[in-house]
Formats: sequence, structure tokens, C-alpha cells
Amino acid sequence: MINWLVKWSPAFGIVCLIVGAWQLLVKIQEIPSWLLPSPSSVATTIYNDYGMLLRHTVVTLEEIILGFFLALVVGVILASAICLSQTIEKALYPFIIASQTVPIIVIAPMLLVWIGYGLAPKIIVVALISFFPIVVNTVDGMKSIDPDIQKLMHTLGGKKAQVFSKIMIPSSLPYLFSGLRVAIAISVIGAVIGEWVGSSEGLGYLMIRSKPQFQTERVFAAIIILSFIGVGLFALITYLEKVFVPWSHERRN
Amino acid sequence: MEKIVDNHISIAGLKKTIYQDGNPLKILDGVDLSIEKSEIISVLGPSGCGKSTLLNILAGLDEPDEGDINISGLDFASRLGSVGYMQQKDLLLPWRSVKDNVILGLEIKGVSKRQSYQMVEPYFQSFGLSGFESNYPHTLSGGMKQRASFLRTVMTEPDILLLDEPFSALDALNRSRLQMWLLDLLDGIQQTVLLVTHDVDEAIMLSDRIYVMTSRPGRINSVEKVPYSRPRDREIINDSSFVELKSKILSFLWDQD
Repeated sequence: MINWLVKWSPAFGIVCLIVGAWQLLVKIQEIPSWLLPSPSSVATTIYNDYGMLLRHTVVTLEEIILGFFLALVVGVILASAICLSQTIEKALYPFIIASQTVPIIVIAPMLLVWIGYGLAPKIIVVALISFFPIVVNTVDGMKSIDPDIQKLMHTLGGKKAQVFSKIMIPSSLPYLFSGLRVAIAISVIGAVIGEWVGSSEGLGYLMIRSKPQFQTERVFAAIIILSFIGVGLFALITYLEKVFVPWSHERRN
Repeated sequence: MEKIVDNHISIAGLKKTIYQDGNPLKILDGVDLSIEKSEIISVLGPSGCGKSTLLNILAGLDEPDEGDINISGLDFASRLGSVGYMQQKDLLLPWRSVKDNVILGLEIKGVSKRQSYQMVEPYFQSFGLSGFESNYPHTLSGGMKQRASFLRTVMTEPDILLLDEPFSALDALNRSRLQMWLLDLLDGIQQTVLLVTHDVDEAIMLSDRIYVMTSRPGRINSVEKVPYSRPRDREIINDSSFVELKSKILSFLWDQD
């Protein structure tokens, strides 16, 4: 624990600096709290509205995690198909790239119209935004295998399916995890956008509702909780990589 | 690791042309080779003489334009998986422990994991890998990696073992240690071997006969018999006949340029 605190002390230092400067600025300039609440008033809000915030946090977390898993499954299946068949690659890859050029903010309301108001459209928005780095990284990983290893597999009598399962999948894992780290960070944004477009709960909904009511403290409280979710999930994925892909970490260090 | 089939290998009139940017490039121009059972053969030649192409063809990764290859009566399709090919790099899979790397060939052939472990177990000692079975490759020394890679190739009981400059990545001391180790090992398992190298000392030290190739297009320039029986001693390197053979082979190689 002590080691951990020492390791991340630069980050804590920066947080303290920003929070301190912000608190001072609000105090000296006498900025009204509906315009920019002071860190202390945001902290008070988090403390006082603990239960309400937790309820919204659980909803958003659920959307993020479900959407992320959908992206993971779809992403890995697409990447595998692309790597196993050049025809599929030529047929699908352009559309996968094109899917990222359509603004998610345009798709989200359409999803609402098509699927409805519940959890499903939020999960889909999260998945849509986060499957892309997963596909691209996994494809790169599967294609990065050494041609000499390909030769080795052939001379050992390996068939295409064995090359895929014994070589391509394991060698793509470090790349997959890089993709997952990017994906988890942006899936937080996906969940918020999904809620902004239409919802009755979640941190994104809370932000949208609190702003016109001049409850800016709550907007900031939601932002802070979202950052913690993002950093926490990112750390979790890094930890899982250490567990499942130990060789990659050992080589890097 | 005994084989009942006759390991006699013969290659006749092997020709191969590749196309680079549409221009034909003659790589092999009538290569003839024959190898007796349990014989160790070296192929020596300048860089670019088509040694790699020759190995790829023998391993079944490539097909010749012309010529016959007879490896214990195997046809092209069945050569893949029956010819052991150890490339220059160790090519150990970083995500597998030494033990799991070594059983890769057995695994591919459908031997169960449990049985594979039992089969490789007795060899860790003589391959200098005992105590490191569960290590990941990146924790091993260069020599150990090469021995692990070698064990992986031998475990599939190939009819012939093709070695592509297996010691080139090692420093001089480790190289000569590994050469002597290999010589001992090969005597024990009676394996037929074709070794490609550009180190004349290595070729004489390890093999029964040496094929010297011309530069591109590759042909066999001369075949030299090494006048030492196996097992042999490191000291032969100081023999007058060793030095004589070495200078003869070197003169063949120098005449190329």
C-alpha cells in the first residue's frame, strides 16, 4: 500500500495542486457555485447525496460493463474472421472503419427510436464506440506473427486451424489488451452519450438533468465519479493482462 | 527414437527459378545430394547460393521446378511434418514454458499433453534443460534456447534433420561447446542430419561428408569426405589432415568470387 502510494505520488501531487488552485480561485473571485462549484462543495454534494449518486453509478457501470463485453466478443470474432479469410477482410474492414466515421451522437437517437428506451440502446452505443480499437489491435496482433514461426508450424505438420489456435490467438493477446485499455476508457464516454440521448437514470442522465437546474455541483460530482470508473476499469484491465499474459509483462520489464 | 524405415535420402537434378519483379532468378541449377542413414552431411556455400531455398524444398515448404527428391519414399505432401527443420532463430514461443515449447510437435500430431510430457521428460537431462522445464524462454541463455529448440525438433522423430546454421547466433565459446554437445547427442540417437553452415571448421568438425556449393545459381562444386570417425575429439582441429581439408574447401569457396 505504502509502495503504491509512493509510486503514484506524482499523480496525487497534480490532483492536490489542481484542487487547491481551483478552490482558491473560486474563493478569491467569489464565483457563484452554479457557474463553477468549489471542490469542497462538490465533495460535500458527493457526501450528502451518496445514496442517490450510487444508484446512478450502478446503472452507468452496468451499461459500461455490458457494452464493453459485447464489444469484446464482437471485436474478437470480427478480428478472427478478418485474419482467417482475405475475402472477409476485404468485405468487412472498410465498413468497420466507416462505422467509426458516423458520429455516435447521430446514431444514438436512432437507436432509441428503433430499440426503445431501456438498457439495450446504451449497451449498443458503448459497444459501437469501443469495438473498433479491439478489432484493429487484435487484427494487428494476429498478423504480427513471425513468418518463420509460420514455417515452423508447417514443418511440424501444423494445419491452418492449429496455427490459428496455437500461434495467432496467443500472440494477439498483448495487442488485444492494448485495445481493451483504449476501449474501456472510451466506453465510459459511450455510456454517457447513450444516457444523454434519452434515459431516466445513470450518471449521464444526472448531468443532463442537473445542469438546467443549476445544480452544477452534481454535474461535477458525476464527472469525478466517471473519472474514477475510467481509471479503475483501466487498472483492472492492466491487472488482468498481468494475470493472463504474464510473458508479455515480463518481457517488457 | 529408433526408426525402422530406411533413411536413405537422394536428391537429383534439383532446379529452382524464382521471379523478382518479373525477372527470372535462377537459384538452384541441378543440385545432386545423397545421404546414408545416420550420416551427418554439411552443405557449405557462399551467401546467396540457394542454401535456404534448398532447405525449404527439402522440408516440403517449397517445390522444385525440376528434379527428384526421395526421402524414405515420402512424396511432397507427406514431407511436411516428417522432415525436422531447425531454423537459424530458436523460434521458441514466448507464451509457452520450455516444457510446453518442446512438446509443440507432439501436440500437433495429436499426442495428449500428459503423454507428451512423459515422452520428453527423459531428455531434459541430456539437453541441459533440467530445472528449467517450467521457465519461459526469455529467461534462458542463448545456448539453452537453441537446445530447447533442438529438442522440440528431435521429439517429432523426423526421418532427417535439417539444421540451418543453428549456432550462428552464439558467441564462439558457446558455439564450440554446443557443437561438441551436438556431436555426442547425434551419436546417441543415430539421426540423419543435413547441416547448412558457412563455417568451414564447423562443417569438418561435425560432419561425415561435406558438399561445397557454388554461388548463384547454386550447384554442387565438390564433395569432400571427412577423414575422421565418430565419436571424435575437439583436438582434431589441430590435425594436419584437418588443416589440409580446410584449406582445400576454402580454396573452392574463394574461387567463387
